[in-house]
Order: sequence, then structure tokens, then C-alpha cells
Amino acid sequence: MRAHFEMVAAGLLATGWALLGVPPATAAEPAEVYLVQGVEGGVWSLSLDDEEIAADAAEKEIVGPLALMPGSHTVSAVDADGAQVTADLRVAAGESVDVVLHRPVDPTDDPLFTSFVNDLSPVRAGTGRLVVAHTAVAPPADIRVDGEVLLADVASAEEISTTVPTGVYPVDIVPASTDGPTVMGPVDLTVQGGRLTRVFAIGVASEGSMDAVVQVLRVPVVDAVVPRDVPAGEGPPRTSEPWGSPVGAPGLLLIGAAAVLAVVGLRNLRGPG
Amino acid sequence: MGSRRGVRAAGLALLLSPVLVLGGAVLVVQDARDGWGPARTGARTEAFRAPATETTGSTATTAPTPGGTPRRLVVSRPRAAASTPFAASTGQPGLPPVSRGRAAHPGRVPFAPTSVRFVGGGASSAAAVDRVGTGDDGSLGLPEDPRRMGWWTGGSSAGAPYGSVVLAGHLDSRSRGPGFAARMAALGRGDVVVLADGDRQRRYRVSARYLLPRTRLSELTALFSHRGPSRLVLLTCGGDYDPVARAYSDNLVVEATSLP
Repeated sequence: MRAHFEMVAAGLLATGWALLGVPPATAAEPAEVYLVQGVEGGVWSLSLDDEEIAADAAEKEIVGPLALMPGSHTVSAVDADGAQVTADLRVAAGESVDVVLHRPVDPTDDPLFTSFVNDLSPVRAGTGRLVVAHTAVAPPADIRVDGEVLLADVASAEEISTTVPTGVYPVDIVPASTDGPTVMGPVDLTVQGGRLTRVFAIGVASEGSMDAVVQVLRVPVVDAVVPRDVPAGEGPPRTSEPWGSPVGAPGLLLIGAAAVLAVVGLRNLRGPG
Repeated sequence: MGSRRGVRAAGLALLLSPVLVLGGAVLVVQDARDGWGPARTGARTEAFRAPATETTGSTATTAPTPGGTPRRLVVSRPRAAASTPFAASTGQPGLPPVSRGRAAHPGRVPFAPTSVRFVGGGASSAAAVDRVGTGDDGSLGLPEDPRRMGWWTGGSSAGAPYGSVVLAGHLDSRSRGPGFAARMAALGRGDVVVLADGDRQRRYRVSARYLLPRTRLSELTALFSHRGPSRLVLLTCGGDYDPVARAYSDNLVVEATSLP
């Protein structure tokens, strides 16, 4: 009966998919792309496949989500002075990607695009995923919370991921394996539960223009019910009965001794005769 | 600032602990028969260095503190753009590709442990680790095979910067005899517990071992918390065995701190 119902339900569902024209996830599923303007102090016109999608993207602006069919796309940026950056962006079906326009290691060169895939896998209730990407003109860096290293040694065009409890974290950034001076911060960074919090460090450390773009995306949450009990023992094996009986060998000895004592006691009570 | 608060909390805990003990307000009394480690008072949770504050509502506001710094990082609100999907092309020849950002240290990414090893006293022993969760009755499910340990999927991953990584296993099984977790009783302060998954591993140093009445387990919320310093909590049964209920009175708890 139940199996029959499930078959009917599955059939209806399939019909529903067909009627709505919603295909199940296949290779044709578009990618979800965000363009991140990570060049501090500049305004850029951003285009995708020769279509302008933002005429005046200021620093820290994010444009998206854009649906891109899997395959090759052209992404470009032009600033007021006519500087132009164009690159070939390849995306896979169904992935979520941030494409960041940022300064290269040598700040005199033109900016470039670097893409980072968003990890949208589930997190446990009460926690959020924190990913920090180094898209700044700065040496390899440690990301610290309250002076303690949370994420160590992240170099340019690298990212690092972790999971932390929800809360507000006072973070600063120092050159890797040093106690400072800080190249950025301290600043308060909020990590929400059930979210991916992406931090793109941008700017030029030597010019004191370090800043960060923060992108927050929803991720699924898996429940984390705290156990009230950990029943982690069944008792000793019963293989050696009768000595391995629930009472155990010492118990049997005690019972035996008690019986002897009881008999002796009764005799004494009765008296010698 | 936070560390000063931590010091204050620790100081407060130190000051309060004798008072709590004298007042009989110790949350859990250590069992003198098998236990050593820090006094378990309610103040302990406060001593953990926790994030400054809880998350509250919207984050998209600039919130300078009275002193001007630190300021709060502002979340960018994405500007919605064209809704029709962009069709893919075969690519323009000669264009440089957008390079993919690299993971900084893939080996350091927190992981779900698949094996556990106890190292101490010149001996070493290992067990396989399965993923386990909390059942509808509120009790932690454990591998039936007492030679295996269970990693609570609701807790922290090995190598996570905060919170408890919780592993538990059967002390014994009526059909299969003593479990791997029986070796927990031999773990001493300074012994090392290694969690691993393939090439990735994380080491912890044993800091405390104590018996805890099973009914009190849920009171020690820090054992299962996502907050506080990175640590490992090993759980099994201990104490008196009740042959009628076929259950033990206590849990044996081993705590270990994360090694760099």
C-alpha cells in the first residue's frame, strides 16, 4: 500500500517536473556567479559576454547572482582612465563562484580577475563557515582573533576556510609568523549561523589602504542535538557463566558466605540442645 | 581586550571555586576513585575565550565603537543584475584565463576523523572511527562493534579552531567483550591522542580524566560546545555496573587540548 503510494507520488512528481519545465539537476544547470569589485578607490564598468552589467561599480560592490551556462565566458572591466582588463572565465555546472577584480602583487600592474568557488556545503547549527581570501597587495598573512592566530600563512590569490561558532570576532591581519605591525584591523567581523561569510582582503598594505569586501551566502544547516546520555557499556560478557552471571563471581562468593553464616547463626539460635 | 576579559573570568573562577566547593555548589563532584583534572564548576564555561558577542540581527551597518576603532566590517549587499542565463561560448582565443584561487593549506582544513590512536606509556593503539549522531531518545548512538569509536557529527571537526571534538565508544559489549574505549582508563596526563583521516592528522594532549554520573552529563554543556578552545572529549562508561539495568552509573571522560 505504502509502496504503491510512493510510486504514485513519484509519478506525479515526475509529471510536475515535466509540466513546469524544471529539469532535474543536469550538466546544463547554470553556475551562479558574483562579480566582486575589489580595487580600492576606483570605479569600474563591469561587463560579461560583452553586456554591461554594472556601469559604475565602486570599491567593495558585488554584482550578482548572475546565471552563467557552463563553459566559457568573457569578463571585462574598464575604469574611467580607460584601463581595461579582459579575461576568459570558465565555469562548471551548478557551482557558485565569486570573481574578484583586484590588484596584482605588483600594484603598478593592471588589476586582474581571480575566481573563488563558494563552498555551500552544510554547516552545523550554531556555526558558520568563514573563508578569507587574500586579494590584496600584501605579504603572506596571518588572520588573528584577539591576538591569537586563527588562520595562518595565507598568500596572495589564496583562500583559507574554517568553521566557527556564530559571533562577532575582533580580527586583525599581520604579516605571517609575526606579531605585527598589523596591516589591517582590528575590525569586528560578524559570522552568522547557517551562512558562508567570505572575506576578501583588498588594498595595498604599504599605502595603508587595506580593507575587506564581505560577502554572505546562505548555506544549509544540519541539526546538532546535544546528547543527554552516552550509554557506552553493556557490561561484562556472559560467556563464562555461572561465574560471569550478572551477580558475578564475588557476588556468588558473598551469597555463599552469607548462606553459611545464616546456617551457623540459626544453629546458634537454637542453642546446643 | 578579550584576553583581559578572559583573565578576569579566570580570576573570578579561581576566587569563586573554593566558595562554590564549601557551599556544596560544585556542579559535578569528581569521583575520587578514578579521576584527576580541573575542578568542574559552573564558572569554567566563562573561562573559555569566546567570541566578543553573539550575533544580533542585521550586520549591514557601520558600527563604530565610541573610541572610533575597532570598526565593524560591512557586508556588501549584492546588486542584482540580468536574470536570463548567459549562454556559454567556445571561448575567445588569446584571452588570459581567470585563474582560480588556491586553498592555502589543504592539509590543515578541519576534517571528520576516521581513526583514533592513543599514544602513551610507550604503547600505541588505534581504532577506526564512525560518524554517529544523537537519537530521538537523546542518547548518543555508538558503533555496535566495541572495537570502533564514534565521532559525534554535531560537534567540531578535528582541527577546527574552536569547540569540542567528541568521540565515544563502548566500554564493553556482552557479546564481544571489552571495547577499545576501555583503554581510556590507562590514559594519563600528557599522553597524546591522534585523530586522523588519510594524510590529515591532528594531535591532542590529555589534560584531564574523571568519572561523571551519567545523569549529570547534560549539565556539562561545555563538553559538547562549539565554543571555547579547540579540544577533544573522549567518552565511555565507567563506575558501578548495575546488572539488572545492564548499565553503568557513570561516564568516564577524558579531555585533551589541541596541539599545534
